[in-house]
Formats: sequence, structure tokens, C-alpha cells
Amino acid sequence: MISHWSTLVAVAILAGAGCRSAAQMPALVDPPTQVRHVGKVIFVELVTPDLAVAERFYAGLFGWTFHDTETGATHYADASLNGRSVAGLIHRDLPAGDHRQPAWLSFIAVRDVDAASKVALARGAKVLHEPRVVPDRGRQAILADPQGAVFAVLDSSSGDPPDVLASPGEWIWSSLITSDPETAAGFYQTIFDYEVFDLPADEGTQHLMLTSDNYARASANSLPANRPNAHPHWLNFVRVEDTVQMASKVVALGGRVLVEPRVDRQGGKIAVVADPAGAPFGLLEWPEAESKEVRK
Amino acid sequence: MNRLRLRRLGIAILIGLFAALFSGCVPYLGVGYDGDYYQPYGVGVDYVGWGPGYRVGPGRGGERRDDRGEHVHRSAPAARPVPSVPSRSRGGSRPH
Repeated sequence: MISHWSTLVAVAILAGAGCRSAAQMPALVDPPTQVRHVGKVIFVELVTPDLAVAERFYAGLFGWTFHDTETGATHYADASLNGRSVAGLIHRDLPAGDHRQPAWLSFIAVRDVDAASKVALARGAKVLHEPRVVPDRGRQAILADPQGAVFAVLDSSSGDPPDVLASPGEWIWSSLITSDPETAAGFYQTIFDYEVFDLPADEGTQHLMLTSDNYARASANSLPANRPNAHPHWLNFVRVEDTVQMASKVVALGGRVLVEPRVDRQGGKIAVVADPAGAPFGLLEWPEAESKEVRK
Repeated sequence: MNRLRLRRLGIAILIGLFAALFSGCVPYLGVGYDGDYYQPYGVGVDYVGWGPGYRVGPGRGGERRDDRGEHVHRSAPAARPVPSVPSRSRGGSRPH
């Protein structure tokens, strides 16, 4: 009988050890802080049909390095810059004829994923992936807002990244581009308790600023006036030192420029580009010396 | 006797696997991390039509607001200036 119990313990230990070593999602904050910044985009994740191509592209563009893990059929790469985790990349086959869009997914910080999902659901959202625990990362759920833009909520088990200026090559900004920014702002305000600021805009368009902890977290914007039927979505921006130069580099590395470099609000220069698989993201040139401290 | 031993061994393995499941590796057994969320719309988001006034980025703080009209959302109090993104550097200092 003793031998059977020995077998039992051995199987348990081996199975447990195998699972743990197979795929550990990196913690967002190391060492853990438990500091919370509800409403902040704290992580982004790319689903792509060719992980190797994506890694080459983002390594060449931003200098990201990758730690690959493989578990079952899933290939995952943790992207880092200067030793800090900046993104996750997941390989997922995209069968021929499947017209879905490879994309970066924004994870927005919450304290309680289940509560946030319930509120979102009650306000017209769809739950695409039910709340679940991802070991070492936290609890997360994937949702589509009432207009259809896909986003995720995350209760990070290690706390949220600090509110510091993003370094070049790190994510600095997120924009929601949607059919109804007013309603969308109300929806996200209910979940994340954002303060909402209405900004001047051209006739027929709206630009709203969503803020928390006295920091701008994202903007909510009308779809361009001549594209009212485009699909609402979130667009994330990486901070760069030279938008024009980086847009050229995107093309040289096999990507595309979707919106040519242009001056945005108060002098920040932006561009929208796509990686070789077509996943769109933004570039934002953000000189360090010009921000004005705003007091509450 | 052999059959009894085999049965006990089978039970032991099953209990062991359940123990492993409950020890924290439930999400990874067999399926891996399920991040299947390709955007549901067709390939190629349309970015045509960003006119000169179409501005989606952050401001530098304290920019002009436009609070005309009624809103679905609750607008920040009129006296509140528009914040910017964090400006503190990772080392703790603010840029000059």
C-alpha cells in the first residue's frame, strides 16, 4: 500500500512540476507592489499567425527581446525592453479564408474582474472570454464594448506598472476609435470611473479624454467622418523619438504605413502603421521636456 | 491480486492528477494559454480619412476644453484642467 501512495505523491509532484515549468506568464510588475491604477492600459498582447515574423519585426523596430514558451499547441513570447516586460505575443493559426484581423489587445486595470465584467454586461457589452485566472499575471476577461471594440480587463496579481513616462519603445497611449464616443465614454466611465474631458473637434467628430489618477489614460474618438461604418477598435501607441524615421523603418521591416506621420494635439507627432501580419498600432513622438504638470 | 494492484495504481494516478490540477496548473493542461481573440472584423482596418483636425493623441496638460451641449457621460468639473500622460521619469525626477 505504501508503494501506491508513493506513486500517488510522485505523480502529483511530477504533474505539478510539469505544468509549472511549461508556461509561466510573466508578472506585470517585478518585484510586486500591489499598487493599483484603475483605468490605465497596463498590458498589451498581440495575436499573430506568424510569431517568428512578428518577433523579427518588433525586435528590429523597437529593440524588443523575446522569451519564448511553448505549452501544448500554444506558442507564447514575452517581449521585453531593458529588462522590463512590454508585451505578450501569441501564435494562433489563421486558417486560409478566415478574414479576422490580427490585432493588439489592450488590457485595462481593474480591481475586480468579475464585477467589471458584470457591469460591462449590464451596459451592453459582450463577454468574449469569461473571467479566468492566468497564473502569475492575474485574473482577466476579454470583452467587446457596446459598439464592438474589443478590450480586456485585468486584475494584475503583482500590481500595476508605475505611472512614469514611457521610454522610447514602450507603450505610451491608447485611443478608442468608435462610432459613438459619447456613449462609449459613458460605458467606460461606468467601469473604470474615468473623468471625461470634452475636447475641441471638427464639426461632426468628437474627441474625449479619459483620465484617472489625474493622468490622461486614453482618448475616445469618432470614426473619421468619411468612414462612419468602419469597425470600432482600440489603437495603442508606442513612444518613439522620431515618428518619420520609425515609419520608414516599419516599411523596411515589412510593415505598412496606414496614416502618414502628422502633427497631433499640442505638437505630438503620430503615425499609424501595421506589422507584416497587418496588426495596426501607433507611433507617438513625445519629447520629454514639454509636459505641463496639472494640479487637481 | 494483480488486478487489485492495478486498480489501486490507477486510483493513485487519478488522485495524483487531480491533486496536480488543484495545485494551480488547471489552465495549462492540454490547452495552453487560450488567447484566441483575433479581431472579428475583416483584415485591414480602414485608416483613410484622418483630416487635419482629427486628433487622437494626448495633450501636454491644461489644454482648451469644449463643454458645450449635454452629454451621455459625466463631464469632469469645468474648473478641472485636462491632464496629460505621466511625465515623471523612471528614476523619479520630472523633466525640466
